[in-house]
Amino acid sequence: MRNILLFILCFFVSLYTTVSQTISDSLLLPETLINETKEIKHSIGIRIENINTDLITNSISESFADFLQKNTTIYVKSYGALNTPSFRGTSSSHTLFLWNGIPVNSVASGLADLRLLPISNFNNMSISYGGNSSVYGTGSVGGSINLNNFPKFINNRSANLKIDKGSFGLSSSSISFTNSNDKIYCYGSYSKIIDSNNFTYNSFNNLNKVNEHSLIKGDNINTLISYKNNDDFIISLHFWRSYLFREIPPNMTMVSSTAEQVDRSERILLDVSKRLNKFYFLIKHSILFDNLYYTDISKNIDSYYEGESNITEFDISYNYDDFYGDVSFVNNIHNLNNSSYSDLFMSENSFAIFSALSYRSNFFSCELSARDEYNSTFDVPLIPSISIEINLNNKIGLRSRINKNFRSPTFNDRFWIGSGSVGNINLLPEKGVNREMGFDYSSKNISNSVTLFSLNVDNWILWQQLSNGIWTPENLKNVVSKGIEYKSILKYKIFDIDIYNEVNYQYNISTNINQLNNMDNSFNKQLIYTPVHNGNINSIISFNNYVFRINKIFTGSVFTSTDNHSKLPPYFLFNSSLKYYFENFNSEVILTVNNILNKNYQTYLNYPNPGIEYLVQLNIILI
Amino acid sequence: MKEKLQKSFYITLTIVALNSCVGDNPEPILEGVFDNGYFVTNEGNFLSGNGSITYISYDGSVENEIFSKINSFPLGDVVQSMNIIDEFAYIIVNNSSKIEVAEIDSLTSHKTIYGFISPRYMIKVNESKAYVSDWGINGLQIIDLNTQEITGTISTGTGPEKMTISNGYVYVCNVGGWGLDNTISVIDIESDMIISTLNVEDKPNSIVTDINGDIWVLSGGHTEYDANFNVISETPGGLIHISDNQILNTYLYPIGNHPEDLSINSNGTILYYSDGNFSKSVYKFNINDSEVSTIPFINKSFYGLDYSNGYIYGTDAVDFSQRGWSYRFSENGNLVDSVQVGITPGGYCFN
Repeated sequence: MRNILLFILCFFVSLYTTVSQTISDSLLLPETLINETKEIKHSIGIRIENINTDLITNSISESFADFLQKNTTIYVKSYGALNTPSFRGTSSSHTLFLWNGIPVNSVASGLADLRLLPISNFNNMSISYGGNSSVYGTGSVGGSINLNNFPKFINNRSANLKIDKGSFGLSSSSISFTNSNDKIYCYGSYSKIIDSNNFTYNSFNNLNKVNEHSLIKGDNINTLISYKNNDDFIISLHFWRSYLFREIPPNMTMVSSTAEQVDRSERILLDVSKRLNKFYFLIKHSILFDNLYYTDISKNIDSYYEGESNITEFDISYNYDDFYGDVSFVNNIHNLNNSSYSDLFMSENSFAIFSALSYRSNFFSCELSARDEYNSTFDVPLIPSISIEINLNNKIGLRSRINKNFRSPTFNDRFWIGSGSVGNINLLPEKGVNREMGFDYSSKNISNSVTLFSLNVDNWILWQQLSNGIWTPENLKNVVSKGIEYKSILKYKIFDIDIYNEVNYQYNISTNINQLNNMDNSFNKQLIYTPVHNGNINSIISFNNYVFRINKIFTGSVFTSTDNHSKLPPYFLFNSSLKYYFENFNSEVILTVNNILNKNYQTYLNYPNPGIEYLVQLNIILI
Repeated sequence: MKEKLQKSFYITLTIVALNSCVGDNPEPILEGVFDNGYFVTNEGNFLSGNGSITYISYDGSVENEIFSKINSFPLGDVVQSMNIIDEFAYIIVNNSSKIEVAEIDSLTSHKTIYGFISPRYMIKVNESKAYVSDWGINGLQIIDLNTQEITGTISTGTGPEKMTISNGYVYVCNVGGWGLDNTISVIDIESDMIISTLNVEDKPNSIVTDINGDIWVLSGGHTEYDANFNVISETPGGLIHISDNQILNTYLYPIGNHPEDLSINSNGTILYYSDGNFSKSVYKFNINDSEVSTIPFINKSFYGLDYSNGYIYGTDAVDFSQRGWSYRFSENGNLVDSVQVGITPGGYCFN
């Protein structure tokens, strides 16, 4: 207890102490990449953040939603059983999730559901802001989240067991192993989670109610087998199977819910890369099975969709001095069975060519790229981008990019048919233009980054009820999103205590500039569920075998009606964790307390969140 | 359109007074506050729990979210309809699967009736009994007006919607709910039994009783699409005249039109409804007419439409995510006034 108090005292004292020595790099720096991924290769001029794995508690029960809320300025909505992200004022379907470079958003809805992504499954993650459709195609309008499993060809043999127990019926466990040498890398993990989520919340008129019908249970299997020979030839086989059953909880005004959802997916990716003189070749082929079953007994709903996607990619890169050239060919085939479509079986294929020319030196980098895509059912615009980076010295850098983005209408948007709602086969793709410029300063102990952005999205698809009473999607909105993102890291050392402070802040004005008629009061108003102010502070103090973390989140008020008449109040959250490493047992224990101030808050109207929440984690290194 | 928002002194006084005693079984402060006006039911957004009611007095003052202001809790998810029966307001909250019962003099919450799945509309059938149509059971829930409890159910067709009463019978539109139906269930009030089922045009959505006790039904018609959203089959909407439980006449609408929201004037002689395809207009029909009019009476598309005491009322939901509007027209079709109401205004309740 004395040690804990000492740490807390040191933390507050340290906030007023001048910068001293550097903290150990192992805590602060992301892992060195063995392969340069596409998102890194084509990141000139944009804001990209490698997720510092030390900011993750290494918990299998920590979801991506938790992580993004605590460490980034991405707004995460929690409603029903869903957690969805919003970059720079865009919607969740404007965020692209890439698993080792392969898009894994739902083909049916385009949605990126954070609940389906256990964060501990990946050994390299990054977040790209501002969209990158010229590289990845549809969906990357607001930003993208890159989830990678990289082989590490080093001599290593390890196995880990993790067990989590938390409030409200949370229980999870995982086991993983790695066996590798300079030629072969084998990794496998199995995890399972069950969470009743039956927290009590303060409802209307001060009545306490239990969040019922919100059980989650599921499991994940991840494997990676890679082989590398001496000629820079690497072949990798990735496999990811996930299963998640969810009860869909009612909102605070509903009596009960009987809705349930099952998501089941299997993803296989084979990639082969070969370096030959100045050329680099990469062939990828992935098969994705993505199934969703939704039932609601009381409403007599029993629906499903079963999707199969085949994505094949061939990349050729050429390097001559500081010049780089890239050409990629991507073929997508999507087949869907959906009980709610006009034709139960739907198929679509697209073929895209991406090319980029870049110059990279220590002082100056620039890239010109373009993507042209042929789609079997609609026209896709040419997607160019131009970007530039200038490093004035080792500490100061300037960057800028202008790029187009797009999002195809989803299968649901086009083919849905149900009582009172029909899709619209004549929808146009949404088109976005992203402009951003940034200033970066970094030294041994401090880094500061400021990004100014402006994002226009035309033809924004919105489901709207027509006068005939039928809901249908149309290209209705034009949105302009402008803002500033700020990130600051300060690290220093006092005696033997390493201290790391990180501040993230975003100011974002996102408005609709298309007026339906003269009675429409949404013109020039802030988009719903888009905070103007949003930020967080992370402090990590490490001393001997202890790591103490404090996380503070501020989320500004969000509007819930397009005329900005109704809104949710702002909230401030305070989370903390303490990790202790037992050398004798080669294991660590982490105690986490979330929402320490026991705040009532909502990220989506009338959906409550848990109050104070405890989590104990045990990580045992078996080998 | 000029927004008319003048705070009613009496309503404000009531709200302030009642808010001050939340949780202490509030007593009505003023009687008859809601006598001189009408209510708009605002559905809100599906799954957001922000349905509400608006009170508009005939002197032009408007009070939005009146129920939640008085009772300190929101009505819930999709406020479908509202009825005033005796001294109580029954507010049917569809996706919250409940009816909120409030004292009509003060709108203070009196009781919540649970046990529904997807309740839609309510009708008082005698001094001690009311029916509530419920898509979730494809039938009617019987409410004892004395105990304000569900006492039984009556099976109907699929998706029972609006109802009307005539000569001891209740006529129920089976609109199809989440599917398709084309029948009217005729129920004997005394026995709560179906005595007849009448086949009408597809998707009967609204129904009224005229001055003669005859029944008028409006069916919207049904459209089926193929994979490319070409219409593969379409049935016409129709206005159906029923007398003595027999169909007398059916007036068909052009294929592609989907008429809805049938209402009748105070004398029970003139019908009003919306008709059109992607954009609608208001039409009227004298019960003695021999064909439906093709000339709009009010050339404006409304999300909800109703008639009361010499005026035609229509709502505009704008983008369904912001506060909508309610318009009032005279029987000549001239606009009288318009007021800003809640999110997704879908219906009316007249005192």
